[in-house]
Amino acid sequence: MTYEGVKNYRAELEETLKRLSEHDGVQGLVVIDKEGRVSQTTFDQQYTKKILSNISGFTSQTRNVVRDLDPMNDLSFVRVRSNKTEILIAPEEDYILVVIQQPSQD
Amino acid sequence: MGEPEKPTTVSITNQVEQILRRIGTNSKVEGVVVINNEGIPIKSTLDSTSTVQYSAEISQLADRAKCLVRDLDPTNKLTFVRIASKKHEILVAPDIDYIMIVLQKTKKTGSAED
Repeated sequence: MTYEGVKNYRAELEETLKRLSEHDGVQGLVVIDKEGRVSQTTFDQQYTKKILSNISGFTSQTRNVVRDLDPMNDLSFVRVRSNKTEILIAPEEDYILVVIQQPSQD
Repeated sequence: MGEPEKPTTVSITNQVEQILRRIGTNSKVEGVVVINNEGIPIKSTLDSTSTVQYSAEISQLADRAKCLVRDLDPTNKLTFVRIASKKHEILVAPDIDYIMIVLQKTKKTGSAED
């Protein structure tokens, strides 16, 4: 990727994350890279740490469950709803996107 | 009158049976499993192998999800988990005495009818 390419990619990424985090009901988001480190976050450091330590492990476990139940299948999305929040987990190849929002009216 | 009710038994009333039947007749639903809080299946529309598999895996995962929610906020409580995969979606509704698991087709794999 050229320097220009990287700058454009970075700008687009920031714009997308900004749009997501400003969406109605969204409390914040965290992007976890494939090494398990936080690459982006809109939460404070303490909460981000909590999210990192809890969600990475949960996502791996969920992915393993899906594959254990059917080795040809793979995890594509997880929604964890609770009284106060809804945690959306989008596991991709190179990163995990975590969005925490108010529970949607389903 | 009768024997004292053992606290670990969960009886499936007619009303519950009706609800389970209604869910099971939805064309997108591929299976329904109800497990008690010990992870033992008490009702299932899947074959026994799948039932045992789902019961074991999902009860553990539901526990993990409960902890996840409480670790992030001790006053919060898990209400639902939706696990979407390529082939289908697993809906997990945990409660005090049981966990209900529904397996349904995703919008992409399901047919056009609702």
